[in-house]
Amino acid sequence: MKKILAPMFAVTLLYSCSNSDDNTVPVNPDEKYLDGIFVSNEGNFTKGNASTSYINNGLTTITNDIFTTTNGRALGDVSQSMVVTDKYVYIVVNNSNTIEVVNKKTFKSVYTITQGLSSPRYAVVKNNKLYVTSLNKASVNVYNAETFAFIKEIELNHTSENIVVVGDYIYTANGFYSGGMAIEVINPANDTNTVDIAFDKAISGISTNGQFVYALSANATTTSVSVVNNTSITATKVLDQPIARNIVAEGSNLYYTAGTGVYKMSNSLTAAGTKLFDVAQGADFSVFYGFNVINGTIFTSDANGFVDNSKIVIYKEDGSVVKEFAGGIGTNGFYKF
Amino acid sequence: MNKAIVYSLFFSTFSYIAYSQSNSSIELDELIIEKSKISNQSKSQNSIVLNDSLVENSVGTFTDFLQKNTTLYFKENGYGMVSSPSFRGTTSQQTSVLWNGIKINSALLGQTDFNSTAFKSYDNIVVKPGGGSVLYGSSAIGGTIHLNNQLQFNKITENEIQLNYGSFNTQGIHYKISTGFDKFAVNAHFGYNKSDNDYEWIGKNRKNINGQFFNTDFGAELAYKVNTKNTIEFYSSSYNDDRHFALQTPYQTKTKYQNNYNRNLLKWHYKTNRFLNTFYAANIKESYSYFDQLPTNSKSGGKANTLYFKNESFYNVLQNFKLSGFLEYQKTTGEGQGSGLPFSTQEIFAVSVLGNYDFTNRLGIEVGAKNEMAKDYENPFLFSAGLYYNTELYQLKVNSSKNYRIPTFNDLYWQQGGNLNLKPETSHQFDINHNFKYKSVTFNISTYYTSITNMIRWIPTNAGFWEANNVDEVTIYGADVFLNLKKQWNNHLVQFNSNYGYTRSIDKKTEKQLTYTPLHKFNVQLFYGYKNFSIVPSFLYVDEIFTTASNDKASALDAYGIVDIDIQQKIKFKKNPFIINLKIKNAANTVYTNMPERVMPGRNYHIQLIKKF
Repeated sequence: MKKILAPMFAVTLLYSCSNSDDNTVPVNPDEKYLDGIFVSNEGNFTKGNASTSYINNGLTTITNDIFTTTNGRALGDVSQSMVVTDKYVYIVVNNSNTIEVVNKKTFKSVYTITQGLSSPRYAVVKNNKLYVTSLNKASVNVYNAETFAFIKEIELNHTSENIVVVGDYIYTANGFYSGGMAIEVINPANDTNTVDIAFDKAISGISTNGQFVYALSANATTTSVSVVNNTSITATKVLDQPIARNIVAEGSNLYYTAGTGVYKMSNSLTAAGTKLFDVAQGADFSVFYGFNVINGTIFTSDANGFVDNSKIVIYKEDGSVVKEFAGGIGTNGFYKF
Repeated sequence: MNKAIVYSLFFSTFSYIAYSQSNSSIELDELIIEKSKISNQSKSQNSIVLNDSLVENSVGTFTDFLQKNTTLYFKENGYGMVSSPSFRGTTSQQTSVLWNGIKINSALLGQTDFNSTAFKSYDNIVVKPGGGSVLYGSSAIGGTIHLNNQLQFNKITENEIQLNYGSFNTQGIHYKISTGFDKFAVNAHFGYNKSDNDYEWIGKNRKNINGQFFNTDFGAELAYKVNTKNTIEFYSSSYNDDRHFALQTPYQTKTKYQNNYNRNLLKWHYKTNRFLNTFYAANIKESYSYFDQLPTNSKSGGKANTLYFKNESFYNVLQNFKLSGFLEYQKTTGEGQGSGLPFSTQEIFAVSVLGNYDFTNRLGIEVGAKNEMAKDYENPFLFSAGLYYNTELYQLKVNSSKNYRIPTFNDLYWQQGGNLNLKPETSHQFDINHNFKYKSVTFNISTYYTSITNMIRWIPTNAGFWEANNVDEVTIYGADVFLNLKKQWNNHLVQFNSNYGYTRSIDKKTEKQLTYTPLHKFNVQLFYGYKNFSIVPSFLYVDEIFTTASNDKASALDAYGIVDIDIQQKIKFKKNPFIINLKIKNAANTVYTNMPERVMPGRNYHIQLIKKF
């Protein structure tokens, strides 16, 4: 009996300790998500089993399926990406044509955006507006990020995938198979696509460190990393890895993956990346289905060929494993908040 | 008179296991009748016959029909949507469907969609569990399903019209005419089905959205007896459907799918005392269109065209020793439209030899071997061997075989991700069948072991695209049990019919049950007939299934049980007899799914009129 009670007591104690530390604000027991990492699990296409997981800030525990647990209903089909703000999390549910808006601290559903969505992919918030790309339409939809009302559709030249905001502009990159090879720039002051930044290869991903936009572009033979400042490309480095993917810009570093390797390079683009480490060859070649670098900690997921829950492995830069978790099906993104 | 009616009911109400002839007395004519040929060509395996009246009295999809009458398990993306079988724990591409003796699984997908199959156009359907690649080629791993039309010489002209109407504005018309003369026999048939399919998603506070479908099929068969030695048969069938794909979540982009096929087959039988030769020439065209963003016309599609030639020779070497040999040539071309399949061609040439030898009139053995050559992949050498022992009360059938499933066009040629280095999926199998028949009790138990290697799956590569690869290995063991009891007195008939399938299908890597494969499946039908009235309550039980390879409990779909009630009245109205069937499906209004987030219909009603003249 004592053995059972002792750890229970310890847990209770921990809770009361942490509460008493910042006791000035009354704690809402529903506010379970004050800091940590949200994980998007896209699920199997057409199976409607998308989900969201939560990893605590100390990277010690994972809680799976928090949307359904909190809201008593399924999230939908293909959770493509998320946007986390101070107040809300916007979950882009691609094949359900919805954006589920939840309270960031409780994950309780606030609203479901449905208007004008046709295979939505990625989103970003700027000036209290939500900008959403689409697989089916060469345009970006704009919504009020507070009232969730549809504002307008911004025409693009080609369908776009990733979308980021830096300074005064919103940058959206044409999808790899879209036929377009440009980053289309939107001016949020008037919500029009004013400038296109042309690349000589299709763009496979963009990322920002808050200062510049970094883009990976590739064809059958080479992959390039480019820096975009304002509305032009200021530097490009051709990599010796033929198929590099998953670019992440953080501070003065860039990270990307090629094969089973994680690479790091300086954002000055003076030299190609050096390999930090290799992850284990995944059971079914689906390593790095999700990839992110948060404060130098590397988050990866192996989607296990989509026949099983994903294996999430968190590494330090030296390749040592911080923690392994079982996520949901098809873990595709890690979002720090 | 009444007895005769009851008797005929009794035989055709349910499926039954074909009792193949115990000894050498096979007439060569029986090898011309597809239904008899199936059991005569594999004496060491069981085959289950689903007869004409079972087919004609059913309303609904081919999935419903087989789910209810066999141990096959099906999963559907909602009622009437894409349906794939699991036969003895295998995948949908490891079940082969044959049309009048030739295989018709889609060349592009390697499987048959059982909700896109006009099963009511056939005079009988034979389900044969277990491997059959030596006889039937690729995909005959879990088992084969044979759709047969039957031609008959010297027969009175018979017309049959069936009309059905039911819940969700479900409608059907089926018409069939058959006649036979001295030298000619002709059948023609037509079918039409439609449904709004907008059933309530019980507990979800909405209806099934965008699930409507319709389909039409035409077919004709013709036989001409040239002389005592030569007979020519011609079979033709065409099918078109238009299925909207039901939405899983309410705001999804609406889509629909159209399937078309056109099949023509010429058979020429040449028969002497001890020798039968059948030559087949067939052309199969299939095509599909997928509208991915309704209401726009945005679509993609694909088509395939197969030319198929086969020569089958049977020779009664001795009274107790028979040999047969097959030569086959197949050429398939396939091409996508707005999809990743470039124009591609595949040619297959195959040689098979089979023989059976009877030691006594009770005990015999059979063996078969096949070799196949194909352009883009290596084919394994295939074999089958079996032993059969028959008495009046008991039959023992032991069979072992090596079978395979070739990569599909998409697996090989799709850009990007098709893989020319694929090997066919290969299976080894062993099964033992015990059949007992005593007075009015029939009991069969089949136990089997199947091991499958090189299973093909599309997996995401670390280069960022999906690619077909030989990845999985599966070991399956299980049992199929069939029990039929009947009791007849005065004008009463009571019959009990039941199928039970136990399937342990284990992924070698995880050592867990294969996803979407129930451990237990059970169906039971209880028939009560009095004169011209009958009522058949039936029950279907499907065990829990897992949707993740690790059998994560959170991913499981619950077990379910469904009750159906079929009521029939034969009415004689001024010398105009006709049949009225009332069907209550899912009478207990059970909420169930066999795919995640795909609610199936609650209680629904159908009425069917059958008139023969």
